[in-house]
Amino acid sequence: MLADLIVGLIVAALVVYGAYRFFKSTKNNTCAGCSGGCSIEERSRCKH
Amino acid sequence: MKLALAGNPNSGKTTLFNAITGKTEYVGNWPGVTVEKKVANLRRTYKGSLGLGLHGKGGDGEHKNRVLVVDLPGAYSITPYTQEETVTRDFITGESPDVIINIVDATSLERSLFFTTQLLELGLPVVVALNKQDLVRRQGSKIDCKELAHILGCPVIPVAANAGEGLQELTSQALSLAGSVQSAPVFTGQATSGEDKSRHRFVQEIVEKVLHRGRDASVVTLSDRVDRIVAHAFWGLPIFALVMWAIYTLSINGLGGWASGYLNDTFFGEMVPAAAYRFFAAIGLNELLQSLVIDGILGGVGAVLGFLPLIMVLFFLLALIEDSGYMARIAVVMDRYFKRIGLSGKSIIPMIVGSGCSIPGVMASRTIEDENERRVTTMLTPFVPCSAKLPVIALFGAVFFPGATWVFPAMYLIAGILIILGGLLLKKIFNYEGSSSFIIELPEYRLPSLRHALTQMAKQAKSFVIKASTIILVMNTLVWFTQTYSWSLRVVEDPSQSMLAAAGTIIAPLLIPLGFIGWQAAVAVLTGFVAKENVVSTFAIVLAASEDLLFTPAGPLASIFTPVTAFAFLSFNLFAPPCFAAIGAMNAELGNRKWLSRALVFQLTTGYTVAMLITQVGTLLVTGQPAPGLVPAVVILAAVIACVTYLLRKRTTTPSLSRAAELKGES
Repeated sequence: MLADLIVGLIVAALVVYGAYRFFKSTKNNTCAGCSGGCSIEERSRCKH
Repeated sequence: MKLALAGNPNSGKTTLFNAITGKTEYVGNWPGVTVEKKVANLRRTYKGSLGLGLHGKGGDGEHKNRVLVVDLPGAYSITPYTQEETVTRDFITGESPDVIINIVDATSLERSLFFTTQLLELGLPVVVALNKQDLVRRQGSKIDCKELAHILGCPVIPVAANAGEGLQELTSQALSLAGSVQSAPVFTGQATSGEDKSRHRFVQEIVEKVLHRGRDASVVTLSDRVDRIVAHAFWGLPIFALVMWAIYTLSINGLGGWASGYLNDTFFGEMVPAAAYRFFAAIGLNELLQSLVIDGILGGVGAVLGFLPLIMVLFFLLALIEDSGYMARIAVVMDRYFKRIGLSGKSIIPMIVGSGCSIPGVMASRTIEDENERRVTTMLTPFVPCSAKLPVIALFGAVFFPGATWVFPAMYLIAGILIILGGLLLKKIFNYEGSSSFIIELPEYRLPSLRHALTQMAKQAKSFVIKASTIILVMNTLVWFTQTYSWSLRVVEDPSQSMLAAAGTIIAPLLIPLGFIGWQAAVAVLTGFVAKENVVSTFAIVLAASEDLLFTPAGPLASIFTPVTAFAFLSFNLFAPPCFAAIGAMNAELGNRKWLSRALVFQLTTGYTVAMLITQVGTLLVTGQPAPGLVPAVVILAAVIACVTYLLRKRTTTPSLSRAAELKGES
């Protein structure tokens, strides 16, 4: 049960973080990996 | 304190920026790479006495000694001609940096000093960084820096930004000048209507005084001789095709392909799932959670990450080619072809940048002055297969065309054909004539920097891993969840009863004329719009296949596609609208929703029609039997032809875009 809780929380955290990065990058017109093209201002906004 | 880096395009501003800030911004050996200003802190080693708090102005502590370096897009003149030149002008005149570091390409002194003399007239302190000293030495030329500094009235520091030469002196001079007032040299004809001509004459006089050429400019160099072959009107294009084919063959069949094969088949295919099963069994994890982590997350993310070595090798080789100066020649080669479709050689630069990622590619289109050309380039750039599409090509290539070296080049060839046909069609529909002049100063060929190539490769790898561990992971979780549960949130035994299958079934009929049968293919198409790599991970999950099985020629993918429909599926994924983030970049560059809608309709129609034609014609040719959905395919094709004909006819009765703008101005 404890293992389920810990693994579930880790997965949930990863998913929430991934979704956050996705929406940030879409909003800032940058790719999720931010491979270039975006300015430093955009990067500081999207926390890449 | 703010230091602004300003200079002509391809003078080495971003190389200098990276060197003095420790950043790894994208650097290309051609003009127009930087289209937006970039800001970073000056490295502590270059702060000198300021690092000890002697010269700072402003607030206290850390902020007091903060030195921001601003990398500006290249400009030939303080009077802007293109969008990115406006960024430079606005920053220099509007935000008044404490010091301007004017990067001058020492190999093109005459061209560069025109802008320098304009900067000196702003009154802001200027330091001239005489860059590319290594090339000057190679040419056997000498520049009298003391005399140049005397004439200009500002410090002139010889530097070689790529080798880190002279940077300490440059930054120390720049920091010491903060707060001072710059005086400008005076020349005859200044502040008159013919000022530009007078300025040119003044610059010519300066160059005659300070430059001692090591060789006669009329002497044909090795670089000139190479250019006669690689930038040749007829041979240039086949040579480019050969170079690209060699790069892709080396990446796929060499180290990259081998390492990717190992990662897919052994590491993510066997070792990781086996270890995860053992660990989860030992801790007694719930079976559903086990399935989520192993089949959903590890299976999907692993299927994408397996292609990391291939992408790293590919981008390493591309960076070497780019740094050598060859890519700038491609712009020249393509100019004559692009002119015929209403574009210019300037449009090739966004497309080359777009081969890494469509987003910077789309953004690079803003260097094009003509609005119509810019819009059309923005619409066409996503056709170039980006790094996200490479895993999809590699997967389908491995399963349906094992051992073939033509799959990757074929996709680029089709992209090239579509860009030419699409450009021609859009030129006719929007009724405009390209007006952009394309003048590019070809950089000298140079030995590519291994460090630069490794940096670019590491950047691409980082980007790929971040994307796989964020957005791909989220989508995999969503795909696993919707495939495991029904609408009533009950676990389903048969995935065809799941929410995912239901959603896929709704759009599946639309894909029948393309030969994509079943909800699995429909779902992969949908997730591909979020990020193209999702196509690979989605198939790994919905086909419940481990990586080694997914990549086998007789594997589960072969139950959904034939080689012909697989090729059509690849084409649809490559040439239909790009991912959401790239669509966002298109929206920003096109400026309004109307143009974005036009672009998306154009891309969707192109991707759909190309895939449909490949399936219908290909199946008929290969099997002698019509493919499923022949009748709707004929109807759709007729509708597309009718729409295109209507749009082409309509343009003869309406004024062209440029004429309409003129009329609006007149009224």
